[in-house]
Amino acid sequence: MTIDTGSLLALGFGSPWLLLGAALAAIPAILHLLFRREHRAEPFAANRFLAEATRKHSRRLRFQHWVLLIVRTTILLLVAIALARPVLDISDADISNDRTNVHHLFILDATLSMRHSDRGQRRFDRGRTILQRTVEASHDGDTFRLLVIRGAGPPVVIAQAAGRRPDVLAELDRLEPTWETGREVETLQAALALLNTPTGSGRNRVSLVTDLQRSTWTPVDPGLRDRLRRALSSIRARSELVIYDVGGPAASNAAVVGLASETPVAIAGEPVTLRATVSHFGTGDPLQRQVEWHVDDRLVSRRGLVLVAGGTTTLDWTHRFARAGEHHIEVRLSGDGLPDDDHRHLALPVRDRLQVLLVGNRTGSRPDDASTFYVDAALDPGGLSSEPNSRAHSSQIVTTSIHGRRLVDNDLERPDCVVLCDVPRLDRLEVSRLARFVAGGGGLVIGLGSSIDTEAWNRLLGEQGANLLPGRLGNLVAADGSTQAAAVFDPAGYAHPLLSVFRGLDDNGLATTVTLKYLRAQPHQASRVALAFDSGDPAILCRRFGHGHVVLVTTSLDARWTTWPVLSTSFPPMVHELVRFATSSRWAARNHLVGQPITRPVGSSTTTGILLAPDGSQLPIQDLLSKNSAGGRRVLSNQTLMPGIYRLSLERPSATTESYGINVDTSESDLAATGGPTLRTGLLGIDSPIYTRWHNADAPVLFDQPGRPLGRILLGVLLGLLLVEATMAWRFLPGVTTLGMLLATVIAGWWAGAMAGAAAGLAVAAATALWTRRNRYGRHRWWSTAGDTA
Amino acid sequence: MTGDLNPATQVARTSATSLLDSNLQSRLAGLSFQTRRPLEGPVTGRHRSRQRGFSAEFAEHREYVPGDDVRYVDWKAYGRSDRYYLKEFEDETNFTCWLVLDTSESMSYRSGTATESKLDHARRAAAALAWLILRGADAVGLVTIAGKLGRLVPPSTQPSHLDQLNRAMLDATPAGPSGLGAAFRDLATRLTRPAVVICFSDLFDDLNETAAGLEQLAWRGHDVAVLQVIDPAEEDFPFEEPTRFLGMEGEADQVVEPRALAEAYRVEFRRFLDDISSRCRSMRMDHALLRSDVPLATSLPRFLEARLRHPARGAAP
Repeated sequence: MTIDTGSLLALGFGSPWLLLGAALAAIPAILHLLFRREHRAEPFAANRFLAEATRKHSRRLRFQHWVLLIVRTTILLLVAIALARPVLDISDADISNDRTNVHHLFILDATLSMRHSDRGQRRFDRGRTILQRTVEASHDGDTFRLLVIRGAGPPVVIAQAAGRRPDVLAELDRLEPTWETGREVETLQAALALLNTPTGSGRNRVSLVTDLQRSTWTPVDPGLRDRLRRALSSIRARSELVIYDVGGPAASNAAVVGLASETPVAIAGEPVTLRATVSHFGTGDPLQRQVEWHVDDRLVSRRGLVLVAGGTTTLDWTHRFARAGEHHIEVRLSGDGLPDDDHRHLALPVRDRLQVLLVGNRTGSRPDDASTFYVDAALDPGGLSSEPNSRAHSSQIVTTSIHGRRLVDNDLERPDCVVLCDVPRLDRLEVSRLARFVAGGGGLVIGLGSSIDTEAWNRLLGEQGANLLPGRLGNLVAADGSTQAAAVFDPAGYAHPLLSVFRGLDDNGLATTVTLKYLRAQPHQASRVALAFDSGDPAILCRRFGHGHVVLVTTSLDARWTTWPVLSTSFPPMVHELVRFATSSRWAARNHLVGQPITRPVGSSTTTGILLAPDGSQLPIQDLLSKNSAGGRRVLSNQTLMPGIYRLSLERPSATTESYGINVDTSESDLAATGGPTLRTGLLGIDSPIYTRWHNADAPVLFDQPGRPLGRILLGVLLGLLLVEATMAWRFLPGVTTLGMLLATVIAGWWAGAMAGAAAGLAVAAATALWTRRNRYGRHRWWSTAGDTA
Repeated sequence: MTGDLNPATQVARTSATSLLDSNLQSRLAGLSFQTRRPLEGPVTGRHRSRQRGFSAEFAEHREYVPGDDVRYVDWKAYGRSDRYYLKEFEDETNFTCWLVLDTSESMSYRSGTATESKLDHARRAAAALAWLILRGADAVGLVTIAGKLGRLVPPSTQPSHLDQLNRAMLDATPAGPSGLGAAFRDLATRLTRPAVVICFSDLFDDLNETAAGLEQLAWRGHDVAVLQVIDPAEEDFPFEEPTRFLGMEGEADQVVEPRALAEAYRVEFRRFLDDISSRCRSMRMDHALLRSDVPLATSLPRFLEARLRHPARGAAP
């Protein structure tokens, strides 16, 4: 509720329903009417003088009674008003009172949290209304510049100081909140740069309109916090900085913070485990929500969920996709004030089979001469070739074996995982293709052997080259033909996910595996040792590269350097785990956060197609084609500013359609705000007014500056009135004196400070005392006689 | 009287002696009651008489008229002026004092802060003055007033008369309205010789009527003194809580918020006292306040000393 008195003053209430308490103000009158006091009776000889005094002073007494009743009623009214959290908007008045030209610089927060809606109004809309009202209340000669805190796009909206109010209002009207996180520091620095631009005479006033989200304005990172502090302090030093907090009371919020497939590669007809993570940001009572699973926009599951405040819950859903192709999974949480983070999308391509490309260096008369033989057999122990050099060995995996020389001919679009088995060396083009393949989410497993050209591998795939290798290859460690001196595996507690299948199995075969030779590898900083030899040298190294994974086995994946493939039962499951782990983020490139680009390599022949956004807008890929750092062509779109499923359709020759899931960054989902004092001491360290209260009416700009809050003022008035009431009920004149003292103190204190206020109060008290003494009727004394008084 | 077996009378007799206490007597022992104007008494006394006589105190000359006693011709004056003048001398006599005691209902009032009612205070004051006057061989009488003249005890100079006066005062019970004005007028017609009239009353009555009655007394040559007896609560009005004040002489009850009305009441009461004081002064009467919470040993000497300091006040023009 708002009481708006033109552009000068607006009174609002944070909890208007508490104004019902104003009915309490009728209590004194009701008590007076219904429960008249039973007076005690007493004979009195001088009753005639009482009657005369009553007759002469009845009007005055009635007036005093009315005044006292008004004071008492006002006290109750003020209590009700104070409970309703009154807030006074004087922002316009503040501006109107100053005739100096003002160069306004507006900074409006447009991040995801500003989309939060309370009682039908978004934080962003409240903030925009504040700025609109500021514009409307401005004077001729005032100018305006506008910046927006957002993720993508430049922060500066109006760079040149604009003096035409309709233009500024129109620009404000066009603004909409984004689904992004913000770049606060960059925006503040841009504002600082604008402030350094000369604008003529007048003063600069920076209005920062934000919800003061804690995660944004008091970040955990001390470096970021320091940069924010310095930027705000610099702005404060160059302008009059006013912060409008449109966040309002702390709002609890639930969000779907994660959605992923636990099955590395989804295979048609096979169960796929999907996992959603739901968090409740905030405090208070647990939230009851409904969670819905949608597959390809079709509801497949709905269940209730209780979210504990501050807690996170994971939900699993297993689904079998009937057919291969592009699929879209969405988890929907029943709504709250911020519905945009209650949805999460997952673009999930489903394959008929998992495609594994085996690359070896040898062929021979016997099948097991091939360096890929044991891996192939492990992946498909009993399968038959369905085509030359290819065998379908299970319902899930299709392996294709090629010689290392043919790798250059393969475009690596089909396989999900590539296994290099003792490939002597790779040329730059092959390395480039492999790097692009892995960066796009593909898996790469590297097995070594006697054919390896260590120097070439380190140069082309090491840190100086494509940086694919998890470690630098070193010298050969050999057991000199003696099994006694051979290396054995040290699982180190099976801590790595690769070894999780062996955990708890005493006779898993790993400990009995004998390795005669291996290349000593020096792990890179980004790598992790999954399995080591008892000598301490790494046996299996892993690293993440782009969206994909690279796994390096420092011994051979055939029987030349180790007995592992032929004598150990652990080899087949380990090969499966290697492929599974390497492809575990196969489709990570298909799912991004808002603002992150969609990229896809395309062939030189691909020239047409469209990118379809969730809102139905289309972008021709001719506008999105560019070259990557390696010189290849790619589709690159930064227009992922809206959450949802984007569909990239490439026309001939590839004629494919791919889905990309874009989700909001849930770091904006925690709506906890930074309080004014905390902001002041923890971040700003400056004394800027912070307008912290708001309400959901048309005029949301409300005044509650820390140190001068309306609530405290009301409390002070209440205490003063209570004192006046107590004094007035005792004696009317002292009550009036007290009221006068309080008024004089407040008015003088307001204008000239506390000392002046105290002096004014004492002056009123002294004047009243003198007046009372002068008018005192005290000539009679008990001993006075006619002679004495003559 | 000694054979009276009535218990009430016994109590009254016992209380009669208690109206005077030794402290008050010792305080008044060095004082005397001074008349303010010449009076006539039945015997020679210490007070000036309206009659000219043959005492040693020369008063004035007056021209001889036939029939005058030639013994009093001032021959020295005849030698100087060749005219006959007679020498006249002041006559000294005793006086009669009437104690007028208001026994109306309002005189029975006693507040919480007072040690006795106004009537009791007035009784003790009257007894003390009677004792003082009788000690000077002057005559003292008593009349009570309660709406009209009540009991009248004729004046006497006998010291034993004090006991009769005290008993009469104790026998008077407070009742009815004051009716002071009519009573004073009635008294004025009854007193044939000028006398000292001392009124003990709160004067809570029609002030114009009361003043008219007092004026009658003064006009007939009486030396009138008004000792207004009030209760401390009537002057201070110390009440705090809302109270229904009940009228004692037929006045309407007043429901009052004392804290709101106290100052106005005090103003009214003080105006009343001022009015009485002013009227008494204009009629050349003494007026003094006797608060019932102030010991008579303090208030009566002040009254008497004031009369001694201004003995000529009230002299006939």
